[in-house]
Amino acid sequence: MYTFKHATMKLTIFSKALLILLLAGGWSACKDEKLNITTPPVGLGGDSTGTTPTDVFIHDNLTVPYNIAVYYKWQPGMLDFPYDIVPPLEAQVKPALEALIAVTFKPYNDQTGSTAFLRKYLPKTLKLAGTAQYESNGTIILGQAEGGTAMLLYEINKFTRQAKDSAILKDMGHTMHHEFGHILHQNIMYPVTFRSITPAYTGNWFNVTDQDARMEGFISAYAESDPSEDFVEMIATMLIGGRNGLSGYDDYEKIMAEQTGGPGSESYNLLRAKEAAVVDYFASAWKIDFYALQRKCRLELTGYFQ
Amino acid sequence: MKKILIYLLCISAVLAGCDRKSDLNIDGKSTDQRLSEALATYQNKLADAPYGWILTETTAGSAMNGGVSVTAPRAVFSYYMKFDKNFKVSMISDFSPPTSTTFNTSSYSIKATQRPTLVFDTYSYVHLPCDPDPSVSNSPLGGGFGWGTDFEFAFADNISAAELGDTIHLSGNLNNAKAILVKATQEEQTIFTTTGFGAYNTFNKILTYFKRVTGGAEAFEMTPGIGGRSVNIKSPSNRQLVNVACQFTARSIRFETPVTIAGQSISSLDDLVWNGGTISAKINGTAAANIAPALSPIAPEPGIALAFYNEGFDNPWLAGPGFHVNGVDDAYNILKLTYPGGNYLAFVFYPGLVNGGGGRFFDVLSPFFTGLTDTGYPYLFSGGVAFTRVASGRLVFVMLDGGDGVVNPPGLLATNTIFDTGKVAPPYGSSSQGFYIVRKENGTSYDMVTAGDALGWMTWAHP
Repeated sequence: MYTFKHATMKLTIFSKALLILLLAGGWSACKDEKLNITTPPVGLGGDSTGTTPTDVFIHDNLTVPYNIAVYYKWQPGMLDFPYDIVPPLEAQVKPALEALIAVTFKPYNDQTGSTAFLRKYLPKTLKLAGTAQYESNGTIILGQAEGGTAMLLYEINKFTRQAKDSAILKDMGHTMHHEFGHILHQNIMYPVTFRSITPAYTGNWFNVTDQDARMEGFISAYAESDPSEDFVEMIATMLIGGRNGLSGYDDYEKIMAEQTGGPGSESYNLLRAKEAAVVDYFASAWKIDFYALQRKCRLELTGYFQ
Repeated sequence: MKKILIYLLCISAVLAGCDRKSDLNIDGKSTDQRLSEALATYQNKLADAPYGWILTETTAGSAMNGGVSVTAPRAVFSYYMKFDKNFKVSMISDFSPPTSTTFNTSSYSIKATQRPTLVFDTYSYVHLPCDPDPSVSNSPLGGGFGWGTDFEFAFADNISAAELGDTIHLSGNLNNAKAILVKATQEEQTIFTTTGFGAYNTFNKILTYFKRVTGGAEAFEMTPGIGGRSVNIKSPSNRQLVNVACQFTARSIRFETPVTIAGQSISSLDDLVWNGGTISAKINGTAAANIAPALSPIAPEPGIALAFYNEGFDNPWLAGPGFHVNGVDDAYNILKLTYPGGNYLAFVFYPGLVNGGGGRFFDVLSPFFTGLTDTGYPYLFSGGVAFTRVASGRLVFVMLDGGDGVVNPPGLLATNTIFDTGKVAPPYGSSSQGFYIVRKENGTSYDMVTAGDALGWMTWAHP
């Protein structure tokens, strides 16, 4: 027993010394490993797909002024995976983005005095798709915001500047205002009282027509789905208008006058109350005169069509 | 003893931690370097082919959207494409007459996903059959589904990029469609750049529904399969419909599987030449044959018109698009028909729905809109009601003018004229010859073909 103990002690002393040596050796050996940080890894910028004039346009007009990356080329798994969605036609990308900047970004810049506001709050990623995302309930998704970091714009292939097809650009602008509205209220929440103006929200919004929704004090059928959607649908409709059937598009005031039951009706008053809540929110949370912004949006929009 | 173990553990941990073999370098190259090299090898393989590639894509018989998989008709799409080093690809395809001759340039990329993947990453002809908008893809599956084709393809040969030969197998990532890339020869390149998918163009110069092939063991008839990406073949001795997907090349129509007619196995019609009205061809590349337009079915199904009509009682027939006329799908843009507040669902044929009084019932033959608060048949009483009879095995309609205030849009007026006359254009003759009813390959949908000229047809199915 004694011998064994003795041996253990020796081993202890010896091994402690060895351990220190080994650690030192190990440390220096580990230090040798060089991390190559000059070449980005494959899939994170390390693989090129060629630079096109579209890429240059995006860099100059969105990446530099707004710090936004635009993905128009298809990346596996970038959009909802098991859906039949296709990438945009490259020739459509530049005109669609130009229109988006002119019709939705510029009014905000003019109103706030610089690009600083949008640069700070716009999502840092735009993902483009050529077509819409078709849902099994019969609805189609034209845009989505991913937690304030990315915005998805669909149906780029249908974009046109033709005045007769103005609904397509208005739809895109509507999506942009809608999703940007989400980002604003995800940063500063709208007052809780907004939820109680029309408390009857429903998951079955897609069974309701826009016309019926407007008679119930919602600006669109989708606004019935949830208070946040209601809030941003108000913003988007006030800034760029809303759908009237499949191909029509109406100005906010036209919808208010023709599709709500008119001044004095309950639905009209409910929508005006929501309008006031939106205007107050922009004034108190963001120091933005919403009506002035609205005028600038309309001006840019009418100037854009051919 | 315990201590010894702890020390041994510590020592081995230190040793293992610094073991230089544990990094993933092979031949002194890091994972990223090897990945980049492999991707570049794949790209060079495609871009270095001097005369381009012929891509043939075959659907797996299903289409996926939103996690829902639906059964899709089999279809084959062919492309001639040339890849360059700047990630651009130019191509023609047999999707439609314009795409079969006009080259289109888009981009591609090679991605390291679970398998190395070729992605057609901006919109191109490859995306046309994938498009979820049925007015673009002409897919019979409705909104949200294309044909079950893909534009993201994994390299499926399971060999390294450097070992790939002149035939490369691909497998679609979403719909599992199979594609084969075959290196083109100089001769093929010349043909594709000068005449495009010539066989597709030539075959589709015959605009009639019935195309009759003579010269083989027995004359047979080719009619379009569901959605028009396959053909249905029938002959007097073989009245059972044979559906076969077909591939169009520069000069040939190849059947996916050989078709047997009167004992003769036919796998292709080759060397198609347009002779101003008919097409000369060679069956299996040898026996001289002739493809000619026909105005009536070669072997009509007895009693089919009446059976079709009767089946519509209490179970309406629906057609998504309107008439295919003179080679143009939905020639009058019925799919895009609008009515304020409503969404176009389908054209509906609903026998016996309209009570005309005095024991007389009429049939609805009108567009149907959802989302309308009234009856949902905005155009019904201004020409969407038919009086129908069966004559000589054909359905003959007389469209009734109800005199309702709604004015029909021009596309609908043209559609109603075809219903009324059984022809797509004048001269109409004194009485309508009506429509042939032809059962499709699935047994449950039917084509209604203008008996006057066989140049117009509409496909009906139950919802």
